[in-house]
Amino acid sequence: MMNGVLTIALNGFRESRRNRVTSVLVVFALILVFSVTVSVEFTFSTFDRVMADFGLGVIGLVTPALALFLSTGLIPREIERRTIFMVVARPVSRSAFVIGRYLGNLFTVGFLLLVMAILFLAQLAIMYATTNFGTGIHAPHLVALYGLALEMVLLTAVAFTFATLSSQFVATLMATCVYFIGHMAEDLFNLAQRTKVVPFKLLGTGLYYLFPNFDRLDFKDRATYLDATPMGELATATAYTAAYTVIMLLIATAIFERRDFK
Amino acid sequence: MRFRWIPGVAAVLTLVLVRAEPYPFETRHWGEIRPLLLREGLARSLAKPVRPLLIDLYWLRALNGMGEAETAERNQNLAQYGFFLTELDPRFFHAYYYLALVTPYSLGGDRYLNGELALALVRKGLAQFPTDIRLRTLHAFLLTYIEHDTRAAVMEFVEISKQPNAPAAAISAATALFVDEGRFDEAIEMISQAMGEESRGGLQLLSDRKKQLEIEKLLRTLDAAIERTRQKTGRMPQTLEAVVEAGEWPAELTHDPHGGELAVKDGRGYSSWLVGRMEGITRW
Repeated sequence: MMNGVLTIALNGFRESRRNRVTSVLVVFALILVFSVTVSVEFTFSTFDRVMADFGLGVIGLVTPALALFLSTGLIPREIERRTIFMVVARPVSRSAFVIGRYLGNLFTVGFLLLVMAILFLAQLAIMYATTNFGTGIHAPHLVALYGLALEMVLLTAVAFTFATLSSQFVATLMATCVYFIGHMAEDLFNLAQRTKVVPFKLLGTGLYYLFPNFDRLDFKDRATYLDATPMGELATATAYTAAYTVIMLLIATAIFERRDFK
Repeated sequence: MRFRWIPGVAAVLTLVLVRAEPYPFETRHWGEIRPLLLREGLARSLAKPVRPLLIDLYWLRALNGMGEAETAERNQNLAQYGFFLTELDPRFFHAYYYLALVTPYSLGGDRYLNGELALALVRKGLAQFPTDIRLRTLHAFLLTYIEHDTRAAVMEFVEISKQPNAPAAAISAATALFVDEGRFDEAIEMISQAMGEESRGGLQLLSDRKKQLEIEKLLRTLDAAIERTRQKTGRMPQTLEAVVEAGEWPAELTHDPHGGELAVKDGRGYSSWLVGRMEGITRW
């Protein structure tokens, strides 16, 4: 079972690597991350802030885009090209296939995130070493990148779940909506607490717990001011991501098990 | 063709979301910073995943705006950027400070446009950074030149001077309050204490202020002697000798402690060392 999952995951990783759109996106992402250095030339007195915000902001834009694009395309494409029959005909369970594809996708986006993170951190370090401004690499920068990685793990799982039950277009649309709602989850909760209409309050609170709370994984604001994040908060954010991802994958595998490909 | 209403609805929604009100200021000048600002609600919600990036993009736009030719409208627009940025990030000190600094538009003399906007931005910043010396100093300047409330400005300098890293200029300006109330010994003590602090910058400024205070203290005594002479002789003395002759001033005291020659003019005492007189809070 594990070998099968791993083989599918590695195949998925190789497939993504061959995908031209992925390559174009990677080049675009790297140019964007490089351009952070240029952005610093347009500011004064706030070099650290601009560098951190632009770097993390660009990574925060590109990573979800990549996660959404790659996650929602894999399974619908397999079904569309009928290559899914070749896989399901083999002694590999459908659940293993979904999990393998998910992990393969995670390797791809994770690898790209890692490359962007290394570039960003290198820029911070070089700026610190070669100029009078800049504060170098600090824990809040790493925490923000870790938050982006958690976001990628969760968003990929959400997108995968949608991809198991619909076309790529619909899955992308739904996953994008969940991404934005997830970032507004806390506003939704606060709004629900303010209303005096009990059904709305219950609905708002229910939706808050139902949708993934991406705000909880967003530590970019703290990197701006080099604010520390308590370990407890990081641990609960990690546990939250892991739990939500497992639930999403369980739903995805349950849907995929019952799906008719005819 | 069945779905051609979709772009229309999307366009209308975009217009409503992005700009529901007319642009707050004139935007037709080419080459001038335009306050094409998102509605705060939209920036807070939809742009939340990339909020720091969005804030910094607007910040860079504001910085570029500062480099453009100065007009009253440009300054007004920069203030709007300041309010917008600080609404999205209340901890963004630079947005309060720099944008408030460039907001007033000088009409010459002591007349300014957009002064109220600058004051509002600084006060918004002070709510976040109540002890920040730069913001408080800017507040004091705006109180002086925009609201013409020099007493409030000097009180601001007094508050600044209580902080351990207060700049010499603020301590010097704070003494204007004591001059106004005739509390010279306290003012001199304050300056002496500041001068005695280790690693204190602006020693020359403080030293000069101390001399001014010592001379002013003496001149106030001379003013009183001139008044007593006027009451005694029925005429305003025109020279120091006239005050000495009336027995109201010691003949040997013709110079202040720093070597300036004492004189009488228009019923007031003057020293050649001190240009004019210290007028308290009206000229801090």
